[in-house]
Amino acid sequence: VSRRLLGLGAAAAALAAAVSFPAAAENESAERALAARIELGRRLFYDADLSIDGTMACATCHEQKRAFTDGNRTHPGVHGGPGLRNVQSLANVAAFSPLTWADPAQRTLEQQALTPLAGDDPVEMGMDLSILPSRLKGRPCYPALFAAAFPEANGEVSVETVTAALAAFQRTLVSLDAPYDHRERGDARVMSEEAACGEAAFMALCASCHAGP
Amino acid sequence: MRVLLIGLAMVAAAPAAIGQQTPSAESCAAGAAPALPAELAAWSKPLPLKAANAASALASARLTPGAAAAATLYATDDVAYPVQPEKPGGSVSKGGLFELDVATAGTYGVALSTPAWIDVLAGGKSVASTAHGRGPACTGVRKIVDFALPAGRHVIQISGNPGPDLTILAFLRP
Repeated sequence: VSRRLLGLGAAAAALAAAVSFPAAAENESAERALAARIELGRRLFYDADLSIDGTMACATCHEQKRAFTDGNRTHPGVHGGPGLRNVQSLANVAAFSPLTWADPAQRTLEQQALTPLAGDDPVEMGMDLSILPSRLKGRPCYPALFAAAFPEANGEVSVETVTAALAAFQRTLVSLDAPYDHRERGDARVMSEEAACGEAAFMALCASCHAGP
Repeated sequence: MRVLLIGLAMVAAAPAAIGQQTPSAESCAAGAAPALPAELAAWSKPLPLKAANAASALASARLTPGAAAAATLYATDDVAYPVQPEKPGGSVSKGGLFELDVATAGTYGVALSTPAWIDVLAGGKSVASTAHGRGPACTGVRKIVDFALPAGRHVIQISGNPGPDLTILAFLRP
């Protein structure tokens, strides 16, 4: 609206501002909710109460200091069962679809979250999803966080809102500042000779599976 | 929106020691228990010990190197950790504190019967682990994490234990 009225004088500009105000307020409200959703997702990501016995959080395997993977070949599940696959880094995970080789049908982070939470092949966090909402409602911090994050759902604590918050947080895990990224943006000087050799080997041997987003 | 930027370069810069692994469960045939190495000899004869739930109660939760303890823990929410554990565990998990007197500086292994997280504090600060792995097969030693410790009185923080009980043994590596 305001673009169409540009140049029509102060009265028209005031009118434009009045007309566009509800939309701006709506956007601001949505941005606030998204920020709250991300913050809630960050909190949940580090909360071991998302596992059946309180021993594993998402961050137990996806360690921030290791680019959101871990340093082990595989990671056992909450009951000690062996992990089947290396823990995937979450850097730029928002750009991936499908998300895993194990189940190409998993195309959203919201769907994918259910696999570590409650999957049984293998059991990872072993959560009983039927008790998850009540467990979280019992924690003093969560009602206000869910209310801020999901005002349209009246702050509902549910599996759906938990996975939506986790997904919102994961979409902020963006890596665009590695030497590779600089090179891709046209700065050839930042890649070392060793890295260039590694890239050539990677492209020849690894890239058919690890294609990148 | 706040965007968290992660340099992929930090993967290359990660320290050599990797995070504590929680080794997977093993299936063991019934029968004679396998022999334990000398430094773990006390593992099969643990003495009861109640963990502390605050630094002020540590004197009653003292571990002796080379001696195993059958420890009982607290609900995580009831433990006042001197330092936030790296992996604190949820409200339904259990945890506790122990005091460890080290007479001789060296590398000490901390063996547990469970996959709980171990932090060791020296001088009030968390000490980075130097190695981790499983215990000898079929002995009930679920994990062993090594720490290079100076002589002195240190604190062992246990967090994220699945139940109220665990066996713990700190020992000097040969």
